[in-house]
Amino acid sequence: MPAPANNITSNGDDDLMHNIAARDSSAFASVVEAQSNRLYRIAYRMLGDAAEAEDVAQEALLRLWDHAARWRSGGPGIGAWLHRVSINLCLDRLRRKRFHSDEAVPERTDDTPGADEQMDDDMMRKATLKAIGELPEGQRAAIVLTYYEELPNRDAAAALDLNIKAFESLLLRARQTLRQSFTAYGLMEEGKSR
Amino acid sequence: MNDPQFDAALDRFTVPLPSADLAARIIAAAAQDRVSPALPPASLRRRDRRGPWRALIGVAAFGLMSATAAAAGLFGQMPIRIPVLTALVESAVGVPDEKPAALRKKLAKENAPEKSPPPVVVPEINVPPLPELAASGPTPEERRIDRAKEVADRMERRVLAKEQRRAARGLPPHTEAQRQLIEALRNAKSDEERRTALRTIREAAQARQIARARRMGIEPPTPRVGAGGLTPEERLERRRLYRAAREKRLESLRALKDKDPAELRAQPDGEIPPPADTTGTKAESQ
Repeated sequence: MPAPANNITSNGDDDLMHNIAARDSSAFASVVEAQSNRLYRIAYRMLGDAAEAEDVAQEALLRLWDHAARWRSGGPGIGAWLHRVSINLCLDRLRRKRFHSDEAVPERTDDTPGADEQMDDDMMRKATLKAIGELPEGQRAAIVLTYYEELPNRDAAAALDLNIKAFESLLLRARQTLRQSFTAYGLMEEGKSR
Repeated sequence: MNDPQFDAALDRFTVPLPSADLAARIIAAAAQDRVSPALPPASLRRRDRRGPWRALIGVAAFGLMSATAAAAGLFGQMPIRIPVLTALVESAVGVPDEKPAALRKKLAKENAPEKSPPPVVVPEINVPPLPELAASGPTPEERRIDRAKEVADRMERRVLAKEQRRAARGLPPHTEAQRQLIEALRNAKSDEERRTALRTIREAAQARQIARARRMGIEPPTPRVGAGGLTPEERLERRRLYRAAREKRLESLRALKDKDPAELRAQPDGEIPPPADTTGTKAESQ
């Protein structure tokens, strides 16, 4: 479970964005260092492709650089803004893929060293990827943001441009669907699933 | 998320490490591709030396086009005459030297003589019938001529059939009288002659029917009865009486018209004789 990486405070965000708007490369580099891995993880779990995930992370951060002059102080912060942009970029890519081909989300490859030696774990991992990949895009984003990135429901709802009630309903449906899939793929025992 | 199995299953979705140079690439991209060049000071901005000339040429061209359009009347009847251009356009295009409408009205008012009362227009009451309407159908006389011709043709067809039947039996025609009647009807020149010929034909037909009935020993047919349960003779008599009564009524009206209205008003009620009722039916109903 990755630790939350967003340690930028809101006041600090305003100062950083002021410096980035003034084209301060060091300020931008600090934001990139703090946020790029998280954005990459979110994008990877949404898209299942490492190269695309890196593209999304880069695109989101470069948009921050481009739009720094329009930053409004007192907002939700750099992290929330980047989550929202990266989630939207992922949803755009998923919709574009679905529009251009009716193939399923491509099988995710695992580049982790030593993965070949753990065949059972690998199979179970693939089953997990398949179950998450079968979720609708919104439900997948809700699981990624709340479970993997441990965002509060309020922040996750803001990233998905939903009110809190709608987000909680979405998250509940996502967990129910995911449980059924995990049970079907043998990742969970049927009687113990809730 | 308090379900250990569920959490364990989710935890299997591990993420591979990103490229080691991801952050460096992002920073480099921001520095190289997306750095907006700072705007140079306004005083150092390069000035386009052709700009003023372009503006001057544009204004002059627009002014010429507008003036030409106004002189040619494209903007409507405005009382605008541009001293040189209007004359040039009129000489080139041949536009007549018309004064604007407002100026024409003003000059007409100034030059007009004293106002005279407008002429009284007497509406024409007796409008003659339109020629196409008058020629659109046959006149009553033409209809009567056509009707007489139809009767003559029908009689001739019957006479021919009768002659053929008799010829087939080796008998002489015996239709001399009917042919004379047909000829009389065809040669009739006036309505009166046609009416007389038709009446003669009808009477002859009735006489033939009566003679045939006597020969055969049966009851002779009653004369043909028309509308109103009257025989043709009765109908003719009724029509004659009606016309006479109408003529009498018209005579009395003409006499009243010649009298003085004051004299008529002085007469007590009931002295003016009512129009004569000629048919008798009206009097009976009252």
